Amino acid sequence: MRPDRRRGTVLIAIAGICALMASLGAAFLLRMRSDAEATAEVVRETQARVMLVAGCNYVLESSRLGWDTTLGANGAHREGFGWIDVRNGQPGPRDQANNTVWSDASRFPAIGGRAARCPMQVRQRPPFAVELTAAYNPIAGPESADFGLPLMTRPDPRPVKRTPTETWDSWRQGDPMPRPTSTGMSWFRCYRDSAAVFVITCGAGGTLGFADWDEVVAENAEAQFGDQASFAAILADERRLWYRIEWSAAVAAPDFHLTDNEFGAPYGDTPKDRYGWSWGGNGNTPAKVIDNYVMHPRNSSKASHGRSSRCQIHINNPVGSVRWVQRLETAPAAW
Amino acid sequence: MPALSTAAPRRAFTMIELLIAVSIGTLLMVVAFAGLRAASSAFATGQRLSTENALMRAGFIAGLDELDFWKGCDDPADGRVALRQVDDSRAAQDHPLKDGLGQPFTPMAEVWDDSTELPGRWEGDAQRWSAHADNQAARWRGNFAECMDTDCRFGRYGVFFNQRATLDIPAYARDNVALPAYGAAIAPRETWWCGQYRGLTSVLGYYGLIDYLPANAIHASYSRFYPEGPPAGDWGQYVNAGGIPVEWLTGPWKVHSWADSNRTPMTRYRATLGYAYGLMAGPDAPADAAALAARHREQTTILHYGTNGDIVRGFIARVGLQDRLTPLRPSHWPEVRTSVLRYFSLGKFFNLCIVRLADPVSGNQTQFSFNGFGTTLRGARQQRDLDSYAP
Repeated sequence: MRPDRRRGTVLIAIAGICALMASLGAAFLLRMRSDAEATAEVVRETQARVMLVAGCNYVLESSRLGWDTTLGANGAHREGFGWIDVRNGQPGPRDQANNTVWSDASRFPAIGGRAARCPMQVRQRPPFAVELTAAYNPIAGPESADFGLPLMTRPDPRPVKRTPTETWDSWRQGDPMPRPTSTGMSWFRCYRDSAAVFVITCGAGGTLGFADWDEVVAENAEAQFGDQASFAAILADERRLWYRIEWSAAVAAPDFHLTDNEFGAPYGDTPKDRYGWSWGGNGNTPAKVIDNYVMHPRNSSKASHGRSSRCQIHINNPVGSVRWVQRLETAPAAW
Repeated sequence: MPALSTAAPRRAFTMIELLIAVSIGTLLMVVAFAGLRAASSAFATGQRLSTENALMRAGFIAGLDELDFWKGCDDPADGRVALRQVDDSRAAQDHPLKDGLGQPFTPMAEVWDDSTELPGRWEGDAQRWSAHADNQAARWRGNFAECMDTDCRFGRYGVFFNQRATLDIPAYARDNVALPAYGAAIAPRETWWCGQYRGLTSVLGYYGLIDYLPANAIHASYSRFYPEGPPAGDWGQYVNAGGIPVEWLTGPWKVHSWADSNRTPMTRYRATLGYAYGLMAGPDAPADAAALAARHREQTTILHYGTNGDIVRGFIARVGLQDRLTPLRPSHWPEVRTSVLRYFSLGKFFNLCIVRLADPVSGNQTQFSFNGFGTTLRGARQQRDLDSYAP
């Protein structure tokens, strides 16, 4: 029987080592799983913060745009003039006829109205979608008779056209069906606290921006969650952040070079200021002592010697700016 | 009696069998131990990577947290109040705010509270700043083309638009305008904007000034004229011929870019084309209130000619808030540091978060950075209720 025992010893030793390896592997997998869970929390935090940007953009753009229901006289679009109307200081947005763009005082954008809820799934196709082609008219190579010629033979850009029967209206509306991989990830809410101050609630999770079950019931959205327990489970796994922001009508000024005081007398003829000092000028460059207005074109990019006729990348911003952002440690009374 | 030869032969291994068995057994054991060793090493590496990842995540979250709550800059509960100091060394001079100069976290009421030179207080209401037709006071009414050494050929805008409610006009100024009928003393029509501008500059410094003003603000205001030049030492109120304090136009504290040498009022983009105003929360930020106030009112050339690596490194050391997340870690653990640099340059606010991880075992250093978006300085001050006045 001794040889059997000997064989068993080897087996037991190897089995023990294998068990040890298996337990190490299991511990490793568990650690990785817990790492993945911790990383998922960071992703949720990040996703929620991205919603702050989305919420700010929403406030900026809706100060003027998006209130078009029907076209007005001569096909005019309905346009707002800011959350504080830039014409008269009244709370807005108000349209060309100075009427508020909302009619229901209990809902956004009325001050104190129920918050706008914005789940941020990706649409199958957004309105007015254009193709992502980078170069519609690439310059032909040496093999072509058109080598080197920048021929604009194709329209640029071009609309995304899904079907041959696509119409203007269907293209304008896009396909609002959400992409399955993008649902239940993030949302924001926008509550108007005063004329220009908003509470932006940023969320990463699957509640679609409903504050609580009562709100789900109030909006008859129970079917989207099943029951209250399911909603509570989703809510428990969600990250929410609250911010207050203030909108301002101020936009970036196109001032890069509205003035040019580089004209002037050459050195020696430089006028002196009241203290007897002469400023600028060295014999080659002119002195800079005379007030001048010069408007350089917005798209100017060339600087001649000694002159500064350059222009910033002109950012036309017709929707105002966010004057300040304040993170709130807890949920405010109304959001 | 049975013969011995009928007994079953004794079972045993031959030497060859034994050697083969021992060899195979040894081989199996070696392989098993090698596997165990590899698994153990992989586990240890995984454990270490996991720790590093956890620290990187913690650094990232700490960066986001700092972006929103600014506790690395100002946290009275933790004794961080350096950015609330008031520099009163200039109080004896003819400064518009008698109580001195503040820092980005100085309570508004501590420096700016109805003075002779600058009546009024900070007014943050959005309606007050809305420059619609019925609120002319919120509009900048200076001369955009008025340079440092103007001859006032377009008129004297400072008599209409000034931080002072009453203005003594010296004779030379009266003689220098097309319509000399202003008299020796007048009450400028608009004072609110200039007052807000001067007050914000005095309390917050230039980073705070840019943060608080609307995005399209023009950086200059008008002050009083000095018949005989400014008082000794009061270079802060030394004005050009039009009445613009020269600190807006030239000198180390100017809100102005040297890029084109125009020395005219500018907006924040033009004023920071290649230059930066930082929030001094870094390890090399001055501790002294006067030096810190000066740093909060100077521009640093970071992208233009005239700069160099030392200047930029010095700026980063003054601006870059650094936080060690694991000061009491085990010695073999990696060290993670999170830095947040807040500065304004090229017309943009930069909130640069840098997470660095240094591994004392391998010597490896890992770093990633991102520009974040979160609470602004004004938002951070509102979190601390620094802008309100006692009723």
